[in-house]
Amino acid sequence: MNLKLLTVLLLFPFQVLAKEELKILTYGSFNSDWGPGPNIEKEFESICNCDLVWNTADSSGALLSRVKLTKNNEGFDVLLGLDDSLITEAIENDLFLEHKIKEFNLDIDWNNKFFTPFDYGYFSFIYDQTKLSTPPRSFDELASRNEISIIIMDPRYSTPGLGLAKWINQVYQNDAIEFWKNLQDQIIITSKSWSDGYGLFLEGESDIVLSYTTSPAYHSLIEGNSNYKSLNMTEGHAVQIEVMGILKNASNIELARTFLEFSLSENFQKHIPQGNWMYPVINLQNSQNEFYSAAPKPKSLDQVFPSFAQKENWILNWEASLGE
Amino acid sequence: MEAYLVRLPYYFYLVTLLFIFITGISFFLIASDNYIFNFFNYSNAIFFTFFQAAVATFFSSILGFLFSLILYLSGKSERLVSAFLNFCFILPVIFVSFGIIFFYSSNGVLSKILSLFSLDYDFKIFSFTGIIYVTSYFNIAFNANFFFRKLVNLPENYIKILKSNNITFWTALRLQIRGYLFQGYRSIVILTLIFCTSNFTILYLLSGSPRLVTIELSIYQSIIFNADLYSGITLGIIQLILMLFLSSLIMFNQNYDQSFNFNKSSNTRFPKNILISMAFYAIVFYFLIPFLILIKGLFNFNAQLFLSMGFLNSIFNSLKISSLSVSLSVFISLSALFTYRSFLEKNSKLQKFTFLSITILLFIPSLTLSSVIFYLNFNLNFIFSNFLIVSVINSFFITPIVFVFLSSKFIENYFYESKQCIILNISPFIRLIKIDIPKIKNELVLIISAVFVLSLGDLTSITIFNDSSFRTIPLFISQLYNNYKYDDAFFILSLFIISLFFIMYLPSKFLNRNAYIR
Repeated sequence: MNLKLLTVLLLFPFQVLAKEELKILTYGSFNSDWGPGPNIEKEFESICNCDLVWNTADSSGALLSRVKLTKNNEGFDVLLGLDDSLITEAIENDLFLEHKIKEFNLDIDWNNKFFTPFDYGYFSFIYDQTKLSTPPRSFDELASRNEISIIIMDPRYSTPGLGLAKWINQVYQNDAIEFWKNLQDQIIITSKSWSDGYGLFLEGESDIVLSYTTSPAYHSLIEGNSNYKSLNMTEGHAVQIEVMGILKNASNIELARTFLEFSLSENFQKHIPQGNWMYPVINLQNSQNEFYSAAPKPKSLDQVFPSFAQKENWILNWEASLGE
Repeated sequence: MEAYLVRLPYYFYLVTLLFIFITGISFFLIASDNYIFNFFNYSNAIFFTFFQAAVATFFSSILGFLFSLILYLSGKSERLVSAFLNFCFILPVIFVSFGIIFFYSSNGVLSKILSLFSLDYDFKIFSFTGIIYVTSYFNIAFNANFFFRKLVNLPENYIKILKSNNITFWTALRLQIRGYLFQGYRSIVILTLIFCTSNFTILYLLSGSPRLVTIELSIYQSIIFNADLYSGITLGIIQLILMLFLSSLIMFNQNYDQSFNFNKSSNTRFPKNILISMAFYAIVFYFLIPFLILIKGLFNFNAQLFLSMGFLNSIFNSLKISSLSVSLSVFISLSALFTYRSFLEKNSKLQKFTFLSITILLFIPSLTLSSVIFYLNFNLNFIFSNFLIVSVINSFFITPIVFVFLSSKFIENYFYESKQCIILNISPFIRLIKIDIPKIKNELVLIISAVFVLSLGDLTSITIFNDSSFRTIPLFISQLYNNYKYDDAFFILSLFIISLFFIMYLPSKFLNRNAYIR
């Protein structure tokens, strides 16, 4: 047989079977065995004839840091899991491509040509109702009740920590430093990460812990423990929106666009509530009623997309309250 | 020619290290225009790094010394005691930290016990207290082992003479033994200080306060959150310089390793003393406190998790990484020891360079090294796989430990051996295989199991170099922790510790079976 023909015949099946790859960079817990990643991968691969390849970084902040350092020379197509506080910084660094994904019927207001939201949540404080029978209903009340001990996260290291700094600045604006000072005596632990802080709260180290309004849903739906509740602050709760975007240097822009479109479908969104323990961006009240009941939405503050300088200012306000 | 072949792994290591240093320095020079490093922003972190290390070293030295005396006077099996102290020293930091929290936290074991007696409990195992407690835990074991091994090497006849002359052990300790015990201790103090300085994970888990920041935490913040590799490298260089300054005390004092080996089993028996027995059990209890978390972990047995592909895959990756890291470090260490000894034989000053070239890795913050390697791989268009990079980084951090541990035995009688090899025309390769390796066999088996365990428990480089199919057990535990699955994390952690115990235990069984007790 002709050698060239033989070679072509031998290679042919592999060429046909070779799938396109979509490389996604996300944070570790999204793609853990218990996160939504593995199910989303199955759903998407069943429709795209492609391979979805995950790479992970420590946290949302670490994701942006990594692509800033490498200018995405690693060739990731999609960055999934950026916190809305980092959006302005990401755009200023010219790391993402504009896209024209139609975002209809979202549960949140959204208008950004670089990023598509895939879930959202509200920062809150979680307490055990068997230990704290009369929870505070406002920040002022919280700061005045010195007997309540609090665990927060360091805003320099943790997204929820930065979220609290944003929340306090939204509520108190120019008086933020004063409020932080009033709260300092009650903050018994400032952990470096959310998981450590939350773990210490579960070990009984504090009365309340900074987390999300959705945290009680995990305890209720997975552990059958309805004792954990979220504070309902009259001032409203700061919102956190997690987004994804197509990176410059992406090797497969079309497939990345398809993935972004897919992210707004029910097949993606249904894995968010009990996978990432956040609210899906499309309303799934009918199919996920038990989740919404276990994690009722609080009064929301306005969305904020801070510049790098504003973010630094939030942290400086917190640092100023620490004293010498 | 054969001698060069034996030295080849060491030379290869030197070239790799040089390449990494050049990458770091070149980045440092290229990027200096775009970044501003303000030393005074980090002065607090630099001060706190060495302050907490000094306090932890102080407690480790004092308690290590006292513990060793009690362990010695208790008359319990010296091999068992020494192996126990070794095991405590190499336990994963996350295990000890969570174990301590489990015992001392507000809902912890101690609090529950005290509540049975209607006693209030408001002790907080966080911030400075927690950092010093956990950092000291490891280093008390390290220091106690040093003194304990010295004590068991006291000749039996010496103890008999003391008894026959009615001289108490305490009097002898005060007047005579103290000098012997503290001989070469300066090096152990410096090593302890170095270990106490490099306690990133402990700080990360237990600092609990925004003010308690060390150089390594600042490096973490600069690199992981601020994309500021420049500050990360600068801080790494500052730590390296300060550590080198401290370690210069070791480099000119070659007694650093004498205490690692038993010279002779004394089997000295002291009369039973109820106070010593009580103190002995108190010490054992102190070291066993973190192990109480095993009860919690095993109570949360989860068969589905145990059989999950993610878990099995993580075990497989951990074993693969540790096997390659340990193999690399053993090759490099043996080759470096061979080179080091040949310089000693020639009375060349290059012996100090060889020693420094290996031990320098102890002083470089792991995150700085990982970031420079990441930057290097990025410039090489990511030609190296995550598996290879993590294995190489792990091997870099365990190589100095293997080197230091084996060095005293390896160079023992080097001058006489060298002459004999020349007379008998024994080639360098044959000398290494037929003389050196059999000579250090026991130490080699012990240190391989110890560094294998250390490598298995590492959670630094893998946080940078991982992907969906490449996770290790510590990363798997950390991901469980990040997904509210605290009980499952403790379950896997418990399984992990039990496996580490067997990894440490099996080689000692092997050594005992061969009845090769020096």
